[in-house]
Amino acid sequence: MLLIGCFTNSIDLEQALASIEQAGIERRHIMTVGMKLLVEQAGSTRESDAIEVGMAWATACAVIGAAAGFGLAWGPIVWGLAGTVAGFGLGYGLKRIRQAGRPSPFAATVAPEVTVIVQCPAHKSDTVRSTMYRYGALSVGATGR
Amino acid sequence: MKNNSLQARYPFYRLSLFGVTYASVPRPAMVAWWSAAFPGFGHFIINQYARGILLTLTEIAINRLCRLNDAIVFTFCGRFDDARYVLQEKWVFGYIVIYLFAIWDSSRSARLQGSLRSLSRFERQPLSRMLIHPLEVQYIERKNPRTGLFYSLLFPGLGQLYNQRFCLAFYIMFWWWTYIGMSNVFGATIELLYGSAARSTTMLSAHWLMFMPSALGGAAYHAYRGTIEQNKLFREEQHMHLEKKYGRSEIEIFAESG
Repeated sequence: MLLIGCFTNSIDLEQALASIEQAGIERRHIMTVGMKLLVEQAGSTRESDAIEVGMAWATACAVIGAAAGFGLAWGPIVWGLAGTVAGFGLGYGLKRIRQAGRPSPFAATVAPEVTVIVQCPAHKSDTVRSTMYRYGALSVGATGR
Repeated sequence: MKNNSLQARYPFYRLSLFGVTYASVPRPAMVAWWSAAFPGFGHFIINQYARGILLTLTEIAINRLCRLNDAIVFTFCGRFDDARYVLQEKWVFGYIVIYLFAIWDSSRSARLQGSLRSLSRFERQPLSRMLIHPLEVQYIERKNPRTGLFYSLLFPGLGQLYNQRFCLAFYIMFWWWTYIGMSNVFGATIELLYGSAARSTTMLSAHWLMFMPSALGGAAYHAYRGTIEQNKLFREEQHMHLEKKYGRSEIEIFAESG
């Protein structure tokens, strides 16, 4: 039968594969498929995320705020911090508007990045399945007898 | 690992005592901006650490000699005559040339490294995940970019330490201590909270304080982006490895149905 597990790229994944081999499954009965995520497919791997843009604006506004703050009542520390907060909000907000629909960089996303397919006799399927779950499989499915 | 990376014409990455070094793929405009914020930081982002460190040292020295930070503060306060008076003209021309060159060179190199990186993907190369050196254990691991960012904002340099770049980490930490000490920012903050704002401003050294936003932002960006890039490296390397190890699988998905 075939067992199919979805994993993230991790050291755990390699431990799962090593344990499955250790359990007596031959290497030629294991297949792995590296999955390309939708966000990578869009050719946006070089793009900056909203946090990066926020940091760039925050720094620029902090420099201006601190410099101008030397001549203002509350001083450079207050104006520098105000510039940081306002700059980050501005940069982050503008980028999020431009990337509407994309997941926020603050959201913890767990994507299936590698699919592992194991062909094994039915009596070993429970071992393989529990090994997959133990080493962080996001989901495991089975097909065939 | 040493021999392997020499064999490949476009090596994918190299593990060394100092951490993992690779051709990076940030947005060139972003690299240009960090060079503008603090010359040298753009080069840190694209892993050109030696010239990055020399550029930051140049920046700190020449900025001091031409009193640029003081002139910037006077300009933003509208005191243009004071700015003109404080600026030391003999250092200005060279400063401008090096400043603009650093911006141009880092963004140009970022663009080129993107191409080099995609070429290295086509080369089959034996890669190592881990390096055991008498002084260090270095490896590529998957990390959370926001964790490095968080520590970097508390104290610049810690994000680099999180990313295994320990020499750059202590270089940044050394300068951050210097900025704290020379600018008197913490003393001025306490004065601001419990005393008078006017006295707090006079306690500060404008020259040293003006380095702080750029150093803080640049170090935080470098840590955040570095983790993202190393995670990408981790994924691509693992895909290459699995392809090599399990690429000759004999699994038949469609068994003949009698």
